[in-house]
Amino acid sequence: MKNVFFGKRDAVLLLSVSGAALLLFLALSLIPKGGKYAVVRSDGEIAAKLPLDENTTYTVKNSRGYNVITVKDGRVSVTDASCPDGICQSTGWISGSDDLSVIVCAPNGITVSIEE
Amino acid sequence: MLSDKDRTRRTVCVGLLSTFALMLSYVESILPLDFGIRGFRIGLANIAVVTALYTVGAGNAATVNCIRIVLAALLFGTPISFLYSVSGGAVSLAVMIFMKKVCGCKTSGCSVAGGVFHNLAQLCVACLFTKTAKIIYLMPLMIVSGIITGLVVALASGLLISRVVGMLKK
Repeated sequence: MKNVFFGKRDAVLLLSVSGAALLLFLALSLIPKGGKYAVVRSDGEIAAKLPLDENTTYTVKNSRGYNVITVKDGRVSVTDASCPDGICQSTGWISGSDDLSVIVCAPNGITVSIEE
Repeated sequence: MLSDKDRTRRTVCVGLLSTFALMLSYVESILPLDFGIRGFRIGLANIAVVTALYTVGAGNAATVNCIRIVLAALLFGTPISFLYSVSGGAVSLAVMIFMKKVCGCKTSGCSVAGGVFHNLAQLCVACLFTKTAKIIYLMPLMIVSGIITGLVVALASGLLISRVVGMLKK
């Protein structure tokens, strides 16, 4: 059976996709980041603006569920959630200086991002 | 017009591949094969779709894809997971068919493109759900994970296709 796995065109594709990812990454890291607040949004509306210099916990609730957000030592994380997949919880701690500056809970429509 | 024999053959092939895809979806939903990034799906079911695409053609591959998305959602999914599944699956199928027919890609290019666009489509849906544009920061990660999963799927399909094509195509 002739080779069905890899050919010239696939190499082109792989290179261009990797290149695009790299370019995107570089472009995004050039955007000035950082901030003093962890802004919690539910369906696009701001639910809370938690200052990063105070250790707090905040629970955001909407019709789809809840997320418990904890601010500690200048970083923020989702420590409990009602969603079935728990991606938001396993995103871990984010701070202003990370490359990853937003936590998303897609099932609940909640985001936590670091902003001024 | 297809003869009765061809029709039967096609029904059997699509049925087999769909079952295969469904089993892969199920296995994936139980095993924590996510390398620490939760929500990261290898998209094992795509092995069946890619195999279908390269053995029995685009139309049948589309059928296999639709069947497994609907059944997987009904059996072990939620309405939200169905939404993500449909958007990811539809976009990645379209891209894969395009890659094969128009770009003449082999399985690795095809499924890498499929994987990447599957993730990007899901990112867009997440963007609409959460109504935040900040999600764009996750794009590079989505592309990279799409590349990796695409390669894994391509490898598996490659192994499968060579062994199974005689059975399915005749």
